[in-house]
Amino acid sequence: MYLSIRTAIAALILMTMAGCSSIYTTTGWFAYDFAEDYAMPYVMKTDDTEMGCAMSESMTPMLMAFSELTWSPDRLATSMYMQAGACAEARANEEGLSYLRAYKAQNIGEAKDARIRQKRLFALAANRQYKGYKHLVAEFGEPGETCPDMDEEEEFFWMLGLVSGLQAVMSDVRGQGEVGVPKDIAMKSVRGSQCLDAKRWWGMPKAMQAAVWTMMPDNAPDGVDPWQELADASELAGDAGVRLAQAVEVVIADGSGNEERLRDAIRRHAQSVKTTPPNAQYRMLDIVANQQVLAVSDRLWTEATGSRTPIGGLGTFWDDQSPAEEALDIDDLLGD
Amino acid sequence: MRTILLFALLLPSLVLAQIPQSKSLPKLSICVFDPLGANGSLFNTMKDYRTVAFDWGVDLEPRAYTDEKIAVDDFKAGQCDATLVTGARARPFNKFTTTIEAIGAISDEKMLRKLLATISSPKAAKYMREGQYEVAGIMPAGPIYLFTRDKTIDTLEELSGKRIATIDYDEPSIFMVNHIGASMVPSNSANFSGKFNNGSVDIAYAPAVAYKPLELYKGLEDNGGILRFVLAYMDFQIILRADKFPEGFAQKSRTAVASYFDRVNEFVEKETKEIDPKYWIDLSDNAKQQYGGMLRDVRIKLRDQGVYDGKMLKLMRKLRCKVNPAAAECVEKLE
Repeated sequence: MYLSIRTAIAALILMTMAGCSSIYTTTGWFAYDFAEDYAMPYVMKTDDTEMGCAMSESMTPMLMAFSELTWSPDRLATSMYMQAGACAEARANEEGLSYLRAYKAQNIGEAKDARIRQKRLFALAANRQYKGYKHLVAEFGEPGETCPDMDEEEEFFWMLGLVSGLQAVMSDVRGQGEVGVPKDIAMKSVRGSQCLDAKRWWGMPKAMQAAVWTMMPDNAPDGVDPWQELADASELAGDAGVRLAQAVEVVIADGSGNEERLRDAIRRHAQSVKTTPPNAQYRMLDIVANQQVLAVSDRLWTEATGSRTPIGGLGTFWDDQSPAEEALDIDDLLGD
Repeated sequence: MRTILLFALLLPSLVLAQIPQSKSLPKLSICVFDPLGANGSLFNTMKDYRTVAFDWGVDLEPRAYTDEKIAVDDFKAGQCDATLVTGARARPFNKFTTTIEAIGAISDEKMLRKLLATISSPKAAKYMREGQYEVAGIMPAGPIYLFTRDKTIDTLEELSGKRIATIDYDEPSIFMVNHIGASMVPSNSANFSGKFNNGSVDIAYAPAVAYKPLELYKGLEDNGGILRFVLAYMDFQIILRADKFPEGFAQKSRTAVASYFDRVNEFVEKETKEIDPKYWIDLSDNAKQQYGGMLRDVRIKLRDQGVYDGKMLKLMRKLRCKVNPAAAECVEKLE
């Protein structure tokens, strides 16, 4: 009697567990399909980066947990980690501004602390972006040698993963190498981007290639001006309303130390935003690109004036000369 | 020894200090060479350095340069009050400190650590200034190795006639390539890796930290290798226009920069471990001695030609002899 009760209880427990497992598995597939087919495309159409950040930062672990029951959602993970990386990067840029303001105020302890906070956030960004890249590799194989056979949707994830790889290297350098992202994935990502059509993908493949050429000009084909290539890529980006390539141009121009070139790139971006609306399908990417440009502008403004770009001031600079308006003679006007 | 693209170089963050007081400090600038410009780690290190320099009485604004020659030219022309460049580019400003990169003169990291601590101490201050220029810190950037596309090339004789990517503004490199009878292929920091990887040269020399970012394994492929023999230790040097800075600034800076050694070294070791172990070529003791002797001859010749500084060579010989007093050079005392 006792034995049969124990057997019955054991059987019940086993059945319950198997039941739960099958529920979880089903839920896992549901979550996987829903996130990839609906949630991510929906987020791409939205315009609120704060919500995008909250979603990617909070939902990624839960979605990834289902990989224990289904298979690893690598494409989804690539875009989620890339987005979460961009969020950490944005916070790191904020700390960069804190550093500048504190230094200007001669609050050196705070300036040093802000640099440390900034580096920690860049390390967090690098960690996320590198994970994004690793999921790309899991899905498509290592980029840089051959091009995988991809449809348009897969090309989209391929590009996000490559951008994530390139950003991971840059963030790790800025975070003082704490994460240890392998440095060669920068060049692999750039080569991988050449699998994509420049026009279809908003000039990004062209911009990534040109960025390398600006640093290694001898690698550029004869007669090709890398800076002109970057500007051309930016134009494609503007036409498409997904201005990631413009952000690349601004970041590379910023690195070059040539402020006139940098200001020109920022001005062209601001002009493009005014004249061409974002691509509705990829609005979020366009806004992320805009924020990256704004971050560089904010740094320039803060260095010069102590505070960031004024509202509506992207594309303008503190020392711009407003066109002189010739004053009329008031006595002439009011006289008889 | 020479400028090499360092996508990867990370230097330690600077020590925290306090005393935030309202001061009106002289506004000075430093031309910083970084292959990645304002996005690179050297430039970032200078942002940290700025906060430390503040406590030494200077507001030192870093300016990014991706072209090292222009950084030096602007510094010479008075566009900046200080500069951060590789040892090879710093040669016109201080022969003593730039001789640290002399070929084959430093046996290992322990010796380099001792050397940098010695010359950064206040007692060595008299060697840090040449005319209006003063050295305000030396940052190590790791060992330089010989990368060969054919791993059977491991003796001096076999180097003869081979095409070597040679940094064309670096006198010791040119002398060395001619000395071993190799063929010089003029190169710079931005194009040597491309030449090595596509096979237009047989051999290149580069710091270990360049292996990953520049994908030197592409040139090594299946038949290449890296000689496990340190040709020199690369470094970056901060040079000041002395009259622009407050009294004592350079010494404080040298002491601080020397204290970052372990952190930088840890990074270099981490990057060196990224090299696939299959590429390392171990030299026999005999071959090492042969290389060592040849490099010493080159150093002496370059000293006699006025390229290397005799005092620094002597100092390095003495440090080597502290570790290995039985070596022939310790009796011969030619350096």
